[in-house]
Amino acid sequence: MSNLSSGVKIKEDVFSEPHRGKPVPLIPEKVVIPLSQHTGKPAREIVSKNQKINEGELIAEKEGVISANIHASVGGKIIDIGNFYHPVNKRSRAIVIHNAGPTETWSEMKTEEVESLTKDELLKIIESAGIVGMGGAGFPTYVKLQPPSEYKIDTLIINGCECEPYLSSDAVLMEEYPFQVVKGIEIVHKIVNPKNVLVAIEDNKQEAILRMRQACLNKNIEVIRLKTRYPRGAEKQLIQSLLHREVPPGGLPFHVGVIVQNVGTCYAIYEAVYKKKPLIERLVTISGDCIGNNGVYWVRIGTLVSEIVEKLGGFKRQPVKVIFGGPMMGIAQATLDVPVLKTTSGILFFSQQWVPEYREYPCIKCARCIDVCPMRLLPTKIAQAVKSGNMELAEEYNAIDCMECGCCEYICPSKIPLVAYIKLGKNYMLMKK
Amino acid sequence: MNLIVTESPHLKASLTTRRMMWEVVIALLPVIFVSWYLYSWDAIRVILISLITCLITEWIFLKLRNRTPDLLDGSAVVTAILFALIMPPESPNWLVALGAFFGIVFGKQVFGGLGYNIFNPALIGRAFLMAAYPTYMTTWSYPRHFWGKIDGLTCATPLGLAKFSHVVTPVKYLFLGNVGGSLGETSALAIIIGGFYLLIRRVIDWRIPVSILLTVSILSLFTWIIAPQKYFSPLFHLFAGGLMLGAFFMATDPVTTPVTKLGRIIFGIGVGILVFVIRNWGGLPEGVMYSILIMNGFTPLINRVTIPKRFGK
Repeated sequence: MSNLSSGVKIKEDVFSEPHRGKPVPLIPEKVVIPLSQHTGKPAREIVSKNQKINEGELIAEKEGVISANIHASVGGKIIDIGNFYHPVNKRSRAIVIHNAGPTETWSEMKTEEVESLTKDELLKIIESAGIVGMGGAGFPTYVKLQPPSEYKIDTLIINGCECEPYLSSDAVLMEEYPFQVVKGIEIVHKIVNPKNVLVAIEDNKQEAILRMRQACLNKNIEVIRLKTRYPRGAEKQLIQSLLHREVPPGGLPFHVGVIVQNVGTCYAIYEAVYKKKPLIERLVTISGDCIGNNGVYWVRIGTLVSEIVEKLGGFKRQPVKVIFGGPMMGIAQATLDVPVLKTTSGILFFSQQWVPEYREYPCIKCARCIDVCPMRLLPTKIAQAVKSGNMELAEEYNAIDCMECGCCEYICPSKIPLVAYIKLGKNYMLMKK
Repeated sequence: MNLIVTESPHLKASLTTRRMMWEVVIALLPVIFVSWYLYSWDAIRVILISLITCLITEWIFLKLRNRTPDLLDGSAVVTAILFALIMPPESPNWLVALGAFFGIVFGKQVFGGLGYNIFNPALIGRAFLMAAYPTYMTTWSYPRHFWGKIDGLTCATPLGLAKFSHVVTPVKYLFLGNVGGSLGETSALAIIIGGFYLLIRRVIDWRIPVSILLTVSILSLFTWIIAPQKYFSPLFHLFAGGLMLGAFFMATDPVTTPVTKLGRIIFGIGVGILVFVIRNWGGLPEGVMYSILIMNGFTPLINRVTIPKRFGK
């Protein structure tokens, strides 16, 4: 299979090997559930303060087409509705629930019952369960599964490449729940009805490859091993690696006949269809050098980072940087009072040792940024154009194609904040439009 | 709790611009050692004069331009050593200082300092001296362990001997370096060791040295087969003169060479063709310096025509 010649190799496994085996659930005392956790319009709350609520009950309804339902991730009493810290949007309206238990048990339906469901019924279930892309973008899944009818979808790609280094939520999911993931894949298969179904996994996850191959035995699903390289898991790069097709600028995978779904999303679909369980928890990787119990845990949506830290036994080393997501595209947080979202695949805690200060040198045009850019851009030229205020030139260099994967800045020997400059240029272009 | 909030990415590779510069200095150690072996203290004298002049000049000009001088970024050190290594061994101190000063000022600082220059500063310094003091710049002294007979007070370079007297220096001596020439250009062996170090450490891209050396080899092989009595062998061309030093240490200067992979290959082929043309049909015996400087001038154009195809187009 084709290799990604661009991108960067990043040393994995630098922190204590995450806890393997069935992930442990962390049950919080309180959850703060933001109404905006997905691409599109925030959901509209349908509950009020002091109301009693059951686990899994709808608390906010999707607003418009591109939006998603939100459910209570714990049962109990709504103690507040207001503005709270948000890991991406800084602040957002959120519903606070005090956990008064008991936890729901979600019983599984029989396969025959599920098989009798039609495509539209399945889509309805996925829509009402509030499922969004769990790889990071959070695009409502039921929308993504219904591309415009003029595009023929021939390939369904299941993304089992962890989107970033240091994260292992997807790997653990495939290792521990391969049959459930495959059930989810089969549901997506039924909805999309493509010729080929490919599950792409990077070769640093041998165990996951093995388990998924076992689960896919005698099924029309091919598990493909790819060389580990960042950003393999990026949608456009994954399609390029597997099919040698390039998604056009500003386009989406369906433009080249492909739909990509993350393995986590497939698992959520399985739970929604087989167990009637809405998306109220997800696997979150806890990593970095500050917490003794690094690992992958089932975390309820809305759990505050501070409570996760407390449940895991506090810090063994003082963190100076807390990142939502991976080290390459994750968002640094100013406070621990931020909740886990549907799209939070990991939380990294770094001590001073991992946050070195670099002196910025002038660009020496070594072109390493150009060599590694997976979108074939000229990062240093774009950054230079933005720096000198020449936004037209930045636009000419197709700054808008940048997906902010961070490879350029990672490799830059002069330690120039390339991504920040390019983002600035992109924002300017988007504002102009 | 005080948390640092910065934009992504939060990871950075360990290679820094500063370390890249010092890696080049390390790679030059075998060359420096050989030049000391061949020319004893003259080598050290020229290198030291060049270093002192470059560092002082750099410091003064950074001060004048209101920058915090950072001499340890290594760029001026690299320029200084490279400039010294392409000087004749017996260059007077004032000549070395003048060329080093000129290189830093007109090769680098007037363009805006590190990263902004168009031409290789060390070569600018030498090109200036070549124009202003051609006699000094073409007077070569015998190395301590000269390969051949001594028949005059001054020595000639292998390329000069070949071009003007049709005396071909054996490739063995060209490879080891006990022939006439600039301080650091004579020993192909020492330069190749340094060059491979830079390749292995991934400081330089293989495309430029490989395309230069391959171009010269192919062209000289072609002409040599057709007219062996008139043209010299590919091995002679590869190991004589400044080609090795130029290919590994001058033409790989990132600042003055193309940023695209294809561009670097075009640049290398261009240098190779020019070297071959000047050596065989030009008035001078050697043309590496001018070839690289000319291709430096073409770099912006090469960059423009080799912009990679847009993703998905």
